[in-house]
Amino acid sequence: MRRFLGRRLLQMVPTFVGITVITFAVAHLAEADPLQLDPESARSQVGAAQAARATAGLSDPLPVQYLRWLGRVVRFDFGRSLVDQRPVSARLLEALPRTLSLALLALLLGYGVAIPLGVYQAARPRAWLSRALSQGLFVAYSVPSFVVSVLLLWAFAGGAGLDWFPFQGLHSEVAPQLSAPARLLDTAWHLVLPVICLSYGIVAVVSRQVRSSMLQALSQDYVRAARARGIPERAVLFRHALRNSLLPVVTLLGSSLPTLIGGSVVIERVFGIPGMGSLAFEAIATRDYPVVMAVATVSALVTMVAVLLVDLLYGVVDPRLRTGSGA
Amino acid sequence: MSPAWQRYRARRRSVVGLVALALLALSAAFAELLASDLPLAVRVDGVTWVLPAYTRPVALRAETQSSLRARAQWQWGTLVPWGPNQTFAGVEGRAGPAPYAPDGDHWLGTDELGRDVLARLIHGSRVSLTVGVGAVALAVLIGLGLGVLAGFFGGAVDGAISRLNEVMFTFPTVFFVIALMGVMRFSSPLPLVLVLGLTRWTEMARLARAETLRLKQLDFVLAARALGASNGRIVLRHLVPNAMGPVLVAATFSVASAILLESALSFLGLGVPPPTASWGELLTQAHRYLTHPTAWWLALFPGLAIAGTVITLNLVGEGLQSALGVRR
Repeated sequence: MRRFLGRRLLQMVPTFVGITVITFAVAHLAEADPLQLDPESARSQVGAAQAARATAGLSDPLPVQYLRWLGRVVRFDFGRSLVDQRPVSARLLEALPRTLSLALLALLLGYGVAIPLGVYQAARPRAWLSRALSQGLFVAYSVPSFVVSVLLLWAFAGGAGLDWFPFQGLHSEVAPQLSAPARLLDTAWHLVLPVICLSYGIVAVVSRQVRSSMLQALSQDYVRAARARGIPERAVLFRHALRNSLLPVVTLLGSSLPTLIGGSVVIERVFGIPGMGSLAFEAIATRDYPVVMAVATVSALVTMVAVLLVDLLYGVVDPRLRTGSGA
Repeated sequence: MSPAWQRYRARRRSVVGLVALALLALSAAFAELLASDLPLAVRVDGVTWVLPAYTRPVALRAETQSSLRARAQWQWGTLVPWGPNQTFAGVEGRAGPAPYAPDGDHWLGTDELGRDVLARLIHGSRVSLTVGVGAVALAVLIGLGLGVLAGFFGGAVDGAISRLNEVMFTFPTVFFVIALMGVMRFSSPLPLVLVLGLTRWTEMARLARAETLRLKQLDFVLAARALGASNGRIVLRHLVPNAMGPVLVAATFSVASAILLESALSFLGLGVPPPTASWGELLTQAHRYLTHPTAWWLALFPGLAIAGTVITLNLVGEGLQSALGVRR
């Protein structure tokens, strides 16, 4: 296990370096004035640009500049935002928890709904509800989440007459005056629509996978054996068949995490949630390069850590993979 | 009739999907014949013009189908008599500012600049299909090539390609594309095609490699070798065509996801710049008109267009999957 972890961590290094190189290159290709790119430029706008250029070392060759930037990045120093002059890391630390908790809630809701749906469809393949579900989920699978979010906002946030949910943001205007539990409820109320939009794609994909791998598991001999021994159907379904169907579902978790983080840009934008996605979008719009580079790097890092966690989860789901020789 | 086509035909909804996909491709290719500000043919002032929608003659440049209707001896108009970039036409006597709701003149309504939504949907399918098909074609080329090479040669070649594959898989494509498109502000869909193609080949490579590993142990490869075939000939004539099946299925689903990504980008305002019509751009406008005033037609119809296209592609993908006997 430890060897496996070490090997995987080592594999992350070239990926991370590759991503930082690309991020740095894109930012430098896009910006004609390299002074804009340097985190020290906040100072340069106050002082003399010429002096700043010399002290910031912008006359050095690009690879040197890259290494210096990388050196700061590994210490979580991304310089200052060009827009509000605040340290970029402070803004990241504000935004990251919002995006991560949104993604986590969406994953919980998505898997929480998808697994029972898939199990039901596999257990009762001929029931009309099963067939309706599989047709409905096929259609749902094809509708992009930003279309759903725009339609949901129109339907339930005032446009079509039903004003059940708030339109934008994470809090009401009156939130500071509320008591702690009321504030929590207020936030939860604001999160309903965004979390539905983020999790809904997961439900469609995951329940299809659960259904097909459950159907395969249920035709295996060990299921027939379990049934023959008189084990209750519920236990056969959940303890025997489901447990063995989870591996491909965990694989999906690995690919849905990057999608969730990418999708959060759109969802946060639609619902006005100030997370990583909104931060990235604003930074791109205002050409705030230190922030763009920071968000790109950090979201790549988050994706890599998530993929690593999923790989570790394989071992939990399938003990045969615990030795770490393969994978 | 080949057995694969028979298996495909057995799935009726996949046949429906294929027909719908063909219609969609045709309407994107010949968008000017369906929706244009100029007619298909017109005789005006003693001169007959054929397909002015394509040739855009100087004499008719200032005209539209509605202005010609009064002057022309005869006119053969398009199904949708509006061009995708024709602003505030046929909206006379309507209350309030644009966007205007659907009615007899504008079947799916207009956007905030008074442009016909249906005309923009028809022309917008071009961007979506170009990006989807172009990106995936590139991804198939790269993925199939690298995958077959990795599977065929094994050893160090396989190791290098598989490492590269792992790096690309972890790469946050979606975020990267958003950042790149936002920072660079390209004016054509080509860079998007390149970026998507260069980053989305990992699944195809994995499938092609696995298929090649299986195929190269089969007798026909041995037979080819016994007949003196070179490595190049075995790879190109025997392995690549036979490894196509799973890759083709994955590619079909991949076109759908590339189209989704393109529309999400233009929804964020980071796609092909205005005034080019694209499906996501209409949804961006819809987002501005969700409450007071509401413009549901700006959300619903592009949403249906995107979802319909993706459903179509997924149906075709499922059909290919069963026709080619591919398991996922």
